[in-house]
Amino acid sequence: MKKWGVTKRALFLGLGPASAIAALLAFYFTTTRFQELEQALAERGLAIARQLAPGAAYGAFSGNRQVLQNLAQAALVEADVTAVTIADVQGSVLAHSGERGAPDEVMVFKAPIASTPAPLEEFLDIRSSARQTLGFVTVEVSRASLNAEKNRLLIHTLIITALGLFITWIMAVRMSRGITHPILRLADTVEQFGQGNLDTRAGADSGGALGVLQNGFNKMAAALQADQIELEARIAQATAQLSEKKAEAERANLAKSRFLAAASHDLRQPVHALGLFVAELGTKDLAHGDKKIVERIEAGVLALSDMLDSMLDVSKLDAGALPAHIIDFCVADVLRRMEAEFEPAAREKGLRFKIVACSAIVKSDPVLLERIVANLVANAVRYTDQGRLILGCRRRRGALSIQVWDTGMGIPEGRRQYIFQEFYQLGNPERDRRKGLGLGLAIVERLARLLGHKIELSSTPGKGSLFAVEVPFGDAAAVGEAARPFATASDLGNALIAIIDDDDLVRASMQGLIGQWGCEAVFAASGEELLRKLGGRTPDVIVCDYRLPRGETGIEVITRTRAACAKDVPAMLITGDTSPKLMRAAEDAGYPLLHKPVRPAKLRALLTHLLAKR
Amino acid sequence: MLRIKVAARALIALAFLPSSAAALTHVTLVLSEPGGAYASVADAIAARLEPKAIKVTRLADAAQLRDVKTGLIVTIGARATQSAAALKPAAPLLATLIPLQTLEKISDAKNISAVVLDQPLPRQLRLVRAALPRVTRIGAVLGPDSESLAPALAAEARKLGFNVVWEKVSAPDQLAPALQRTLGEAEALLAFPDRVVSNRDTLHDLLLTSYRYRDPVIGYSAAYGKAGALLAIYTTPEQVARQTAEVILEMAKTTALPRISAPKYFSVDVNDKVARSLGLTLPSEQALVERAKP
Repeated sequence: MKKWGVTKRALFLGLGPASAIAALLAFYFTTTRFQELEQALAERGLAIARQLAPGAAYGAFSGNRQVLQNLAQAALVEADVTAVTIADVQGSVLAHSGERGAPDEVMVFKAPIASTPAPLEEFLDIRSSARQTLGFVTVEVSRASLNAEKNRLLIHTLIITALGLFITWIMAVRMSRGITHPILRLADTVEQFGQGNLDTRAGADSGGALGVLQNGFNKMAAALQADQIELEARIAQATAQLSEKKAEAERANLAKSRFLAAASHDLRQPVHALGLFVAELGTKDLAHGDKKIVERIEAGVLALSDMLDSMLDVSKLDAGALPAHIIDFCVADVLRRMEAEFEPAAREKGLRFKIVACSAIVKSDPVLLERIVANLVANAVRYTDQGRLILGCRRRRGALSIQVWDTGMGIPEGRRQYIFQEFYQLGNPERDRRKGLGLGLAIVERLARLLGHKIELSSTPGKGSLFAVEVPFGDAAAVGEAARPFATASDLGNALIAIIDDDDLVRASMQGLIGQWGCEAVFAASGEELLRKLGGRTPDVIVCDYRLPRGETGIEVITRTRAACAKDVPAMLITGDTSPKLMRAAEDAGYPLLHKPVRPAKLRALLTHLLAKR
Repeated sequence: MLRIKVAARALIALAFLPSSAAALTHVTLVLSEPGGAYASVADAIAARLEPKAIKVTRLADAAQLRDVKTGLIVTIGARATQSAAALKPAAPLLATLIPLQTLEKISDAKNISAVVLDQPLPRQLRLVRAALPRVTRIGAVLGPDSESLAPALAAEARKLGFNVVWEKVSAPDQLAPALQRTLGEAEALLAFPDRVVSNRDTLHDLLLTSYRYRDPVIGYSAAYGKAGALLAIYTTPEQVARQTAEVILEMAKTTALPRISAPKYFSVDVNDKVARSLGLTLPSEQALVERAKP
């Protein structure tokens, strides 16, 4: 009953007491009526018997059976009377009429027959001891009509009760609807509201407590909805502010990138030209003192180029423009080259540089891995003032850990998270140029991420640091000839080189250098000029600046020149622009790309390589 | 026989009455019941005595008789007589309005006399002769209280030329057959007070039975006449009172307790409807009273 719903409860309330009262009343009145009927029949039977008794008195007194028989027969006319028996005091039957019924079908009434008293004077009366009983009249009354009446009464009672209950039921259903429907509707509304339909409202069509409930729910719903709307507005506002800030930050970042790109492009052009001039100067026969100066200038330009290259590397890596070519190769080559590259610098700083030989086969990009290790070793050399450096390999967790140990200043715990960020340098607040730009570890971090290698760092401030890169082992059987990208410098022969650059200074420096290499070169500021200057000749190689006047690109010029010559002439692009978009365009077109300032050795190597393809 | 005995006892009692007693000046009346016939008898007695300078006192309760030492006690009705007799009072007692059979049952004390209600047999027989001259066979059914009448009845009837047919019953269930046999032979039925034969319970049946045999009944009370008897010969309470007063006044003169006396005055009722039913024509009641007298 506790789990009954509203409808059930209301129906029970309407029907329960009514049914109980109806049943009790029906039972009470039926039984009372039964008793009355029974009593009425009994009284009638007794009355008949008593009425017969005086009439039978003289017959019984005189023994006149005929009179008694007539009397008994006459009594049968009375309704329900089935048998009449008149007997004397001894019990012998004086008269009998009708037929006796079964004991459970009849009621039997017996009345004594006494003589009728006469009004004799009292003072003359000699009393007999007791009134004399002459016999008995026995009347049998059938219960048939009584039972029929009882049945009729019972049926009527049942019909009336059922009809009453039916009407009560209908009324209870009708009335309970008035209560249950608003409650059920309210429950439905609450359900909908709970499902997030905040516009839902209860119909305010009931009075009393229900009306209060509906109004209360509506007020609550309105308050909730208002809160919700306000909350959403605040979130939208906050989101708008956030996205504005984000856009602002992106704009700032873009501006920075644009500035950097522009700055590096503008820097590269003169540095490129400077490098080419210095290289040309180096080939001249100079006095000993002059030669020293030229060497110093060359070293300075080289350092400047390195720095610009590092910045370029970061740009390339961020652009994802550097594809990794994973192969199986022997780590020994990498170690050997490290020794060749850094041994002199270490020795110069008074450091002992030890390399533990290792011939393990690893799976990685040899060029990029070498760049990682080289950066780590360069860092170690840079930040170690005394003691020694060790480069070695260890087997760790099923991979090869290439480790660089130093006895340098170490990295405090709190700084370790910053050292992989660009331009972050420890112990170089004065930004000493010799300590680099602070891009080394940033490049290491990006390269390792590209190759999927893990970088490890452990350090004790004041005692030294350990940098390690974990490289998976390779398959010895898959080790092939490590293709080196460029052939070593050689004679370029009498090749015809077409050079397109809109910068006069660059064209001039290139002209001098190419001349030194013994090649013929055609210089032009644009594609049209080149074709005019070529005069129908076909160049052996095209070296083209990417960004040209009037929005022309190097790729377009190369394509047009090739078309004009009707030949797939080998070509390369040179640019001072470091944007990733340009790098990807060059790669898509299939042209090698050199960034200004181009080191003369590098330019020569690429030219040699391209000419070898002829 | 009984009558003789009673009369003898009365004589003896008279002899023993204190002759030296002073003249009777005070009578105490004891009533069986405060109203009805008893009261009218008492009133009538008082009305007759008081002018004669006899003081009359009425007692509602017989128990007060203990204090009555002198004068005469007059009991009216059977119950008063019985109560008074049981106290055995010192003063002489005169019973009235009582059948002889009842009196005999109550007491046989010496200082008790009475004025009884029973009509003398010759008077009844003379009435039958006067009213029904053709009747020769007189019937009677006698019970325990009335069977002693049988010899006198036979003797008196013979004197008047009647044959008597009678039956004796001792129990109620014998009544109907006895009645039927008697009525079958007799031409008229004489009724006498009897606890079995003739009382208020049997009166109707007796009359009905006699009517079936078309035999007239001569009853002993007014009620008989009203109930269906052809003739009723009886003494009214007023007549009883009158006779009683006469007896008391006589006593006052003689200072002697008289004998038990039969009713001196009487009435006759004729039920005309019954007479018509039986096809009879009777003389007037007054004429019958005269002819019933000796």
